[in-house]
Amino acid sequence: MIKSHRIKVFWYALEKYYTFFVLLILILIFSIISPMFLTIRNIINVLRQISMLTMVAAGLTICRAAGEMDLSVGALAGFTGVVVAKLIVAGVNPLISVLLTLLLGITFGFLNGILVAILGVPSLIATLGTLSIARGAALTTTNGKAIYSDFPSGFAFIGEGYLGIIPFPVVIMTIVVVITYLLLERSKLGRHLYAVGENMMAARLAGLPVTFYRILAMVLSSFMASIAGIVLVARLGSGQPTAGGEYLMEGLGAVFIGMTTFKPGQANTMGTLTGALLIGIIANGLLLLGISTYIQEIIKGAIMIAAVIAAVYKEEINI
Amino acid sequence: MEPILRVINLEKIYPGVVALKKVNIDFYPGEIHAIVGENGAGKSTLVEIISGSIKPTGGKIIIDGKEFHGGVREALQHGIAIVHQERALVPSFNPVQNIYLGYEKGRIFVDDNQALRELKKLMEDTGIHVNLRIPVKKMGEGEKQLVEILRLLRLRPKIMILDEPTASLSKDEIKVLFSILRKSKKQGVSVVIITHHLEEVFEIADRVTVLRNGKKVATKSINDLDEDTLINMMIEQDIEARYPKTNVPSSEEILKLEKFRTPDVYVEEFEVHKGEIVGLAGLVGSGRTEFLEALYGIRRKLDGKMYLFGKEISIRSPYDAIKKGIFLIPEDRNRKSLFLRFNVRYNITISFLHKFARFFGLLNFGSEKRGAINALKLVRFDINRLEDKVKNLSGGNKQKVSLGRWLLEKPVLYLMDEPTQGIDVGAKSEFFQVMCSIMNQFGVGVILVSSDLPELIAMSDKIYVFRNGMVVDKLNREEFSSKRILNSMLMGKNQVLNER
Repeated sequence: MIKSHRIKVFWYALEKYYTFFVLLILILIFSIISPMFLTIRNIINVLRQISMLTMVAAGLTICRAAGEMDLSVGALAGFTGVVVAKLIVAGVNPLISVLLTLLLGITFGFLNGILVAILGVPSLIATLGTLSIARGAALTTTNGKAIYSDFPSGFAFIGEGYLGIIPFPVVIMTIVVVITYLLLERSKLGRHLYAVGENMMAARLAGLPVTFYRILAMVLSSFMASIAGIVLVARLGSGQPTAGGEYLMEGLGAVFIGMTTFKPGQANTMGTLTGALLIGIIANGLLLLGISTYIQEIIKGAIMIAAVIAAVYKEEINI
Repeated sequence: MEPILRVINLEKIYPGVVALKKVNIDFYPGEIHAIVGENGAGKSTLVEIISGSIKPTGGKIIIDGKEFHGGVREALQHGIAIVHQERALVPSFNPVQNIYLGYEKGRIFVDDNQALRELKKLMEDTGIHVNLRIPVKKMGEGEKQLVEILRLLRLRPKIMILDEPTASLSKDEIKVLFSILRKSKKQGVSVVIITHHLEEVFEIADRVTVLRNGKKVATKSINDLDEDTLINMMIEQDIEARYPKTNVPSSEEILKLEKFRTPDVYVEEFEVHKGEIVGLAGLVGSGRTEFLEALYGIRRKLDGKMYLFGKEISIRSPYDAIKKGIFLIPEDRNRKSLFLRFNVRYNITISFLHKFARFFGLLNFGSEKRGAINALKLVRFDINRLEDKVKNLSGGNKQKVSLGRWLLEKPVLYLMDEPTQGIDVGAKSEFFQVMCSIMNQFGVGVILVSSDLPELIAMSDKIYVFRNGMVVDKLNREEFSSKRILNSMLMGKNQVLNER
């Protein structure tokens, strides 16, 4: 009896952390094949590569937890990027530029929230529209050209600086992930966001301010995308109007892969981090193996589908 | 006579739950066989297995001497058709498209007109009438049910299974359905029907099988049974204990309304006292739910005054109501009250999380757990299931969670909308026991909406009868009579009482 119980617990753990184990196995395989893979330098490199993606994905996780979708994150990251670049080039104090840009991001999210929670446009459609608006705004602001400049060292530090051996974008990513985790898993606010996402009607009848939470979810999503946009510009050293677009697909990929693990069926922070790591490690490992970036795209897509199939299947047998 | 369908040692075991245990039943052609039992007794599981949509974990099914190995298509080929408890219709399709789904007329292009003609004939033969031109999502629940029944009849099955077909039908529609079932029976069809309404069992069934906790208690001819025996077979409990009323109303007034008007409802005067259960009778759509929702702040109030303990109050949102200790237990708990994929603890504490929040709104899980356990003890919920997902609970336990949520703060007034809907007899009486003990402990008042008249009469201290959004009659406990209440519900006997 005790033995069978142990087996059950084992299977349960395997099921729940399946995607996490896949990540560990991938790390094992890559480190056997390529001696370069498991070096501190390379690991830090991977973390830096996924840092902006993870920030966007963390925002998307909050959005998904509240049952909404935000397709505008990638375009917004691009837009906020050129805005901060333009402000700095125009001679505005870097700190004030960053704050103004974050405020712009929050305003953008607020508009998304109004569309979704007050005017009742489904978030998938609303943010598809605002995606285009953000993209168009970025192109208009820059006339379609990149903004090059020698950024002040304080601003460049955001993208290229180090804290000890840790790149500053990784530090920001860590802060974002920790805050998102505390917010969603440990706080009253997070529980309420999940409740709105799970059953909006029941949440309303339980006395929760549903409209407020839906707007908040859109705001936080845009806010995190704006952070990513600013870090991206600081790292690239230029404001590219078309940058950031891939964060939408990869960010959603991380969130969906994340939904297969830790809290199966629900968007969750640790899962999203696992997803982002998985995406980063696959890209890095394949690169080290000398596989072309074109084929990498195909493999990335296949892995995402495989992960979600596993999740669907697990829900099926979990009943 | 040879049985057309034999269920032999049928077993269905889910991880951790035995849904069916070694069940043996024979079904004969030309009989109506009722299956009764409490929720969770295994009735639906049994018929889902027979109709091929669930695979058993043990045992055999023999149809016409041949073994049946499962599968919905295979079941249809064997002549088994079912009306599921849950709707199985495509919402945007009209009845013709729904009924002929998978059996479309025409060779290459779908010929709905041919189907339409066939269907019209079927409606004439059976006496069931539905609007064939509108999408089913625009239909009421009763009409949808009729569409499902038409689909079943069109298949001309040898064995027809109906899982709670009468739940959303009107009295007249039930009559039509039963006459069709009797006709089918005469033609040699074997009819299997699941119902919660025992009077229906006695009206239509030839034989009855009682299930309890996944096991068969007995199969008996209807002539050997009376209602008390049948209930006792289902629940092992005395019939007197079904409605345990122990609340004692005091003279202290909790809620008082004067000329309370919303877009749907007008109530001239209304009072609830401490420890009192005020029943609201009325047909579906008579404004009772709308009235509760207006008191709870979901619906707009146009004018009139609302007093709580003699002080005038205004409630504009559920949040306002909850702050004052007015709590709603809505109908349709899966949709309106519960977070199904959350665990019990989350569901209990969701409205009062601020009590467990510390710095920066971070939750103290330990105190949250203690708070949830205290509430669950009051509703006599098994605290070992604190971390179970709510979707895995039975109807009765779900309702306890719905109620338990409102015990974290001192309750003043409960608004209960059909709280025992879809709950079996045993869980019902348990629910009322819990409710009365809470009422006595906290001196709370209850406004109870129920469409189950015997229940309303047994539990209420006074009853207001609603009709077309108005109170048409008010009865004190000593005046209760189902005849008078029904009269007021249907005919609005006392309309002068409350001219709009």
